[in-house]
Amino acid sequence: MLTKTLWENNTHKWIICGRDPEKPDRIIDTNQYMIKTHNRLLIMDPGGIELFSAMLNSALEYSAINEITDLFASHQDPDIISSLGLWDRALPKARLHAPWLWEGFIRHFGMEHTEYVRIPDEGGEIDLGAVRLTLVPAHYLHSSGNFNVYDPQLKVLMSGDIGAALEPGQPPLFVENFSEHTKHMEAFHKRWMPSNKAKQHWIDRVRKLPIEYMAPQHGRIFKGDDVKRFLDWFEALEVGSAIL
Amino acid sequence: MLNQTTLQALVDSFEGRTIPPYVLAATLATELNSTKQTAKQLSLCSKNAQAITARADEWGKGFSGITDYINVTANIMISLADSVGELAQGLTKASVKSVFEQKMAANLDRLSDKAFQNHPELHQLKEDILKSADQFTEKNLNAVVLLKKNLREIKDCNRTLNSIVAICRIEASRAGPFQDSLWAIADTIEDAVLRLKDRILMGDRLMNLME
Repeated sequence: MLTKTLWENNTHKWIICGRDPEKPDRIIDTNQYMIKTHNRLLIMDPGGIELFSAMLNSALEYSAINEITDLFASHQDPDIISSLGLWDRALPKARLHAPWLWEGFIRHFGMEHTEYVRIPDEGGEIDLGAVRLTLVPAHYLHSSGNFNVYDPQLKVLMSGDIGAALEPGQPPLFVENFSEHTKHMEAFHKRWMPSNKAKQHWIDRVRKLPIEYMAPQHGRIFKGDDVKRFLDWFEALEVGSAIL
Repeated sequence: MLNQTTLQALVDSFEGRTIPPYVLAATLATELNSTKQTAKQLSLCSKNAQAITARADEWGKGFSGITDYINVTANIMISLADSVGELAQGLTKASVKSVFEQKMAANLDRLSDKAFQNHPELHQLKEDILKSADQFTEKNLNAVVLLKKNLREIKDCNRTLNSIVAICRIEASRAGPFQDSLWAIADTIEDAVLRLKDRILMGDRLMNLME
């Protein structure tokens, strides 16, 4: 699995794990992100069961197991958090930050030792000591209880399924040609995002944030002007319309 | 990287719970990863020593005989470190699968007698799952045996390197104007030996926890 530091300052770093060549072919490719401070590690959308071994190896490159203190699940999907039962055994003292709405559902993945931190609908924070991350509501995009993670220091928005692209093979990490890239995003957003109203609400919200990088859970990362291009493109796209 | 204190903190953090074998195997892979880097540095160091002894001509003859040993030992170590990494990662995967088989078997165990009476094929399913779980257990045990063997061999290589350090210092002291350069080579090898010793010790501790 590719494990690479993307951005860092003197307090913390962002790491991406993905493009796993050993991933079974029929499983959708996912990006997992980690934030490492000097003594803690947060894994965002840690992924499915099939990725667990590779993810564990990647995480341990940066932290001892007892320093992996926080997990974040943007929503309840299996590619986001079905590995929870294994992390639950592996991590001695961890907290899972996830939408309050999905607690009873997510616990089906197996959860005995981990603390479930319910994120209220209006959002909240994850305090890692060295950095406070903002949990930005992104409900109905696509899940009815859904959050993004915003890092105000490094100006990174982990956008979950928003901005996701389905591309074959092992595409580069960053969007290189936005217009070209839209063909890999269009069908996904039309089908998976059910509400134009929710879409507009989210766009209005994130336009107020200074964002240098937008990092989705599938596909490539947007940087600089491509973030604005994405927001404009998404605003103009009629969603929830793929089968109508 | 873990040291004795942080490893103890890791063990304590589980508060008496069993540390899953996949965590220990993945930790082992990470902790011994630096062994390969150190061995690569040693291989490079031997090339450097070769260059110095070539320049030193007569003065470097004594030392030049040792450089090949350093290189050969370093290359054996690189290959052993690769093998340890592969085995530990394989063990992580197999241990994860083993957890699923055990869960499945436990769930089948909770089925009622009536379910087994009405669906006799469940007996076969349970047997298959248990057999598969046994196979994973056996695979894991074999991997642990191989890991131990490789760790022992890395330890042997390190002992060889430790002996080479002493010889290096003797030969460096006879190298006249090249003494300082060759002495520095001996220092580098000695430093590597100490770092490797530390990692091997950590490997031993993690293996003990696995047992």
